[in-house]
Amino acid sequence: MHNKVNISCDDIKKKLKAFLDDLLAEDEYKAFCYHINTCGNCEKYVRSIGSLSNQLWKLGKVKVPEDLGSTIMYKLTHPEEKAQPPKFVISKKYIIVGSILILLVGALFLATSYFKKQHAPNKDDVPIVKAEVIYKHTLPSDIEAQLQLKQLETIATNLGVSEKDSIQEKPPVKDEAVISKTGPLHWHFRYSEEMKNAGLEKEIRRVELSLQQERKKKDLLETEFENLQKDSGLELGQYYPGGFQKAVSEQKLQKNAELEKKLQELKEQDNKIKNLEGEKQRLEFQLRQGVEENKRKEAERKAKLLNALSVTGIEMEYQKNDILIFTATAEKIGHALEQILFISHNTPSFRDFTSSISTFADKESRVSIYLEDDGASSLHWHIGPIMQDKKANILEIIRELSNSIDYESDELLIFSIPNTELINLLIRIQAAGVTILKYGSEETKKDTLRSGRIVISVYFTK
Amino acid sequence: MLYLVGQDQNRAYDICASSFAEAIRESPRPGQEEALMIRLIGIAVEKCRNIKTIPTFDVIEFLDISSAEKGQLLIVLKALQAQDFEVKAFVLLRDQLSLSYRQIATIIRSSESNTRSKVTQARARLRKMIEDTLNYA
Repeated sequence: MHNKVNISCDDIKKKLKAFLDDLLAEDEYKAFCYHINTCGNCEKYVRSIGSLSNQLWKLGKVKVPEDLGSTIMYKLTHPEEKAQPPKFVISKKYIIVGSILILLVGALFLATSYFKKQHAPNKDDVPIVKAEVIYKHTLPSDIEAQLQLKQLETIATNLGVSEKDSIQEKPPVKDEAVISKTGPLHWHFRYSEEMKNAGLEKEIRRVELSLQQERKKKDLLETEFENLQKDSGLELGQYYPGGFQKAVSEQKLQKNAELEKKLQELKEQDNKIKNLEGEKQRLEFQLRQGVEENKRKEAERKAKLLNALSVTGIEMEYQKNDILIFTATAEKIGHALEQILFISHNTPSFRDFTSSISTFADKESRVSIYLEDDGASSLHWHIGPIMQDKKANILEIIRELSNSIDYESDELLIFSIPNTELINLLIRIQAAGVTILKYGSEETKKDTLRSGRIVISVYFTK
Repeated sequence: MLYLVGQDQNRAYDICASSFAEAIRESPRPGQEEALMIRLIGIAVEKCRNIKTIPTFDVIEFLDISSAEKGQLLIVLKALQAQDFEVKAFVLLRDQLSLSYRQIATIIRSSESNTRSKVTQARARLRKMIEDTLNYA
């Protein structure tokens, strides 16, 4: 590409700010881009700055598949055949036959209308036709799909859900028995006392971010230092007032002062980084201690809980992933709840407890308990009310994305999927026209950004 | 293109290959590299605009990027993926492909001044999303 404006390496440094702010004239912009594309040092220098445009540029540095060239060659030699519209040739003969047919159809229509008027039945004789509304789900349009994606991305990235969205988020009530009056009992049992670990993690992330920024600044300073060391800019054979040697010595002095200043800045930057690294180590140590302490307390309280349940003669149906499921009579459940209240510090809502006990006094009910760690538990969704045919559809979607289903009953499904599939799963469930009423807890959603698998339990409400 | 099609590598590969083939077929004369490039990008953008995007999370192999930088890039990538097609197209054409406003205007079939303001708006939206994410984290 030929450019009218020529730009040197010095110009790059001078125009760097204008380039980053996108304030260069078009010719200058082209010349600037041309220069940094052809000069390795300048490219490194410009792209080392953490601006948004540079980040977007870096996103483009992806590995190109090796066979792309051969695929293009193949596509060039095998163009996709486009469907040709059929050619119609209308002869005079067809026009005459067509006109006669149109006339005949018209006459038939008029005769039928006349006959209907003559023999119109009474309104009472008309059989009642029951209109059925058939639910038909259409695929979302591009805009709708993008809106859905935006909603879900907001959940995953901003870690918050708007109440107005179709996926409504309500964080579970801490240390409180959440008791449904009609469905199976569903409790959140927080067995971890300390919430400070979450705060520490946040602090570590903040320090990490500042560390990254400071390291970038240091890299930039080092590049500037190296550039200062390199080029003298003086050439033999040129005229310098006072002679070449004098110019050299003057420049050396000036450069030494600059180098010293840069060196000082580098040292300060180094100190800043060291301080931040120290702070990070201290926070990580605190976090490790906190986690260990929490684990110990958790194990203690979990053991107490299991012991309390076994004392009441309750046998576990499912016990994995910090989820406990059992079926028992109202009497046993009441007894178990008393034991649990004894272990937990806060008093749960007693009114809900008594009213719901009376609704299932004479039969066995299933109880699922979610053990929460630092306010977080496994994701659990309430999907419903749901028709049986849609439930099959949802199950099909889940089975397609997850091959590890841990527990399955008429009302509850527990499975795990890779975190990266979570948004995909949500989109597909929403696309099937099903609304998710509750969506896990605030803390759990943070895990959706991390790697690994996530345990999800889905309640199908009738 | 990869980012315009919701990070779907197979789809991006397919669109890329067919756009190249179409652009080369349309401009067989040598020495018109810039025109060929503009035509190629124009075809690819139109193809991406017309397909239904189903977001995937294909792992992208970046070149010469340290793991620390990758973390930052992923934040930008997430924010980018949450944007409308138009926003993505404007910022990528300007900042990733370093095209001039005249070239972008030709591709988008719009005026140069309009393109300039659209790019500025798109950058602002993307920046806001990134800032929101970082503030929350």
